[in-house]
Amino acid sequence: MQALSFEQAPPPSVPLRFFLTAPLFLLFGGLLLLVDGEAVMASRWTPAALGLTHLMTAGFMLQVMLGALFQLMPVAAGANLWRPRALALPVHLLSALGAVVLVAAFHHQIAWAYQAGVVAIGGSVLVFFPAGMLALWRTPASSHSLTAFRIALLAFFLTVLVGGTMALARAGVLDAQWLRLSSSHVALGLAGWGCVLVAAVGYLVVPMFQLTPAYPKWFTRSFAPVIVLAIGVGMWVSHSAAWLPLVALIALFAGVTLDRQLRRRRAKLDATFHFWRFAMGCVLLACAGAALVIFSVGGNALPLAVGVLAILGGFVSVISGMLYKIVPFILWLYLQPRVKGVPPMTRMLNERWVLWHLRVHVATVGAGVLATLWWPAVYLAGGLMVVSAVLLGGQLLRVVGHARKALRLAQPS
Amino acid sequence: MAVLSQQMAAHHTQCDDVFARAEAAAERGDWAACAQSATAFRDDVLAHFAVEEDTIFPAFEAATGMTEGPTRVMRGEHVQMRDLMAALVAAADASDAEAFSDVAETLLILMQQHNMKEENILYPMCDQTVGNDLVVGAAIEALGQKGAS
Repeated sequence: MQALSFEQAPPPSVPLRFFLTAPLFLLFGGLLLLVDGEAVMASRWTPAALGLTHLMTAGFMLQVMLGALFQLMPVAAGANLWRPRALALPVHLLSALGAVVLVAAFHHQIAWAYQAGVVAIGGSVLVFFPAGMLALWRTPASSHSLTAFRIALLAFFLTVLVGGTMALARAGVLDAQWLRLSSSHVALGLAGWGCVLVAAVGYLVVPMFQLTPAYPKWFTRSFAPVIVLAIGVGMWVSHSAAWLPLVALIALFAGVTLDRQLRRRRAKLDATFHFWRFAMGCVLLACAGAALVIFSVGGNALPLAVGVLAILGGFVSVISGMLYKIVPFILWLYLQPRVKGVPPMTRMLNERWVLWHLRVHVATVGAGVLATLWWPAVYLAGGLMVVSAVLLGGQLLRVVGHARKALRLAQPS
Repeated sequence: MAVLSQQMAAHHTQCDDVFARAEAAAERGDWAACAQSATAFRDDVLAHFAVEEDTIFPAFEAATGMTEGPTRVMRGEHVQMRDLMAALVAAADASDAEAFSDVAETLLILMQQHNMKEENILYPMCDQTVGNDLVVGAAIEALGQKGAS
């Protein structure tokens, strides 16, 4: 039997470098809405809208998803990454810089910036993907989360491959016909990589945080593999209705998660629970909207509303809720055996401000959806998104500040 | 014969239930019920640790030669949880809502991620290596009966 140690969970600096970078992308997103909101709301294909979408996905979401994989693969799946600290440095720098350059390329239509963005994000994938897959294949553990982690990582690779190809087509390096892969890029990125990773994490943390029943076995066994099939159907059948099974599966995940939460055994409700529940509600609305878009209902506004609900309402909500649990816990777990007088996790955050963030975030999503119908509301959404980013970043820095203080003041135990 | 991983995971769930009762009592300010449930929870978890530390882990270490691996990390987290459970019972006895909430939140997430590592990784390895060990089986059986009584 292969030797296994749980202790290869990385030092806190590894996930934290990703987690602390993420709110900056949310901030840039809010600023972009304030500066260029009218163009963002004109159509999902404007340079400003593509820039904003990639600030959220290749910026905010990717940073947290990579940080979460560094932390969760060893802890949840026994998949120990080789030298995580050395690996995290290039993955973090290349992915963060690549996202910034790519967004600049979209916004200003700069050919060299598309190429530089592809090189940087592609470089981060080329470092992380083989190391991650090797760790996920060598682990002696077996669970449905593990299967989902493998599928998510493969979908991440394909998302960047397809996205990179389209970016090079935009730069004029490759033929423009590659731009027809946009639906596949969105499906691979949001469903194969994003939703499957949220599911892999959800199987573990939804029961953990609220003491809900586990996800049903039939669901955890088949969800991620069936998502792969549904993406395949959508990609190979040349009719937009072929994407319907994928949309239905994502709605099923949201429904099963809400059902788990309804059966929780914990009486206490916290911000993370509310963020998750709000996210799943947004995902259900996004799926209903996506089904209408597939049948060409709703003009230019509905695809934008689906994007706001799925990305900002779904992913950004889940991620915010998770960060408020995971960042204090990682630091508490690291400090507790090392120093005396570590504050409880709950004291590292200011719960009142966290709840304010929840309210501001819900209002941001509401304003974002409203702006798809009445574009001047985009400035309200932008302002609220800036406030959200400041609240999230401020709380995460507060947690790190508490940890630093405990290290400075405490005697080794 | 029931599988080790299933029996031990079922006992985790039993302990979670008692924890949830203690927290619910604290939320409604019923400190007598909270103290009773918190004490029962601590006793159940300590009995669980005892079966692991005295029977399952030594058998696993003897069978695999892995004394510095997962079992050492699990023992370390048991120490952290013992401290937090003592603080939880003290907060319940003192009817201190703020202290109870602080400790409960930290203890819950520590305990749940600990259980996840055991259920996903360590217990399946134990099934393979010491699943047929009669002494281990008897200790787990006794733990289950204690929980049921």
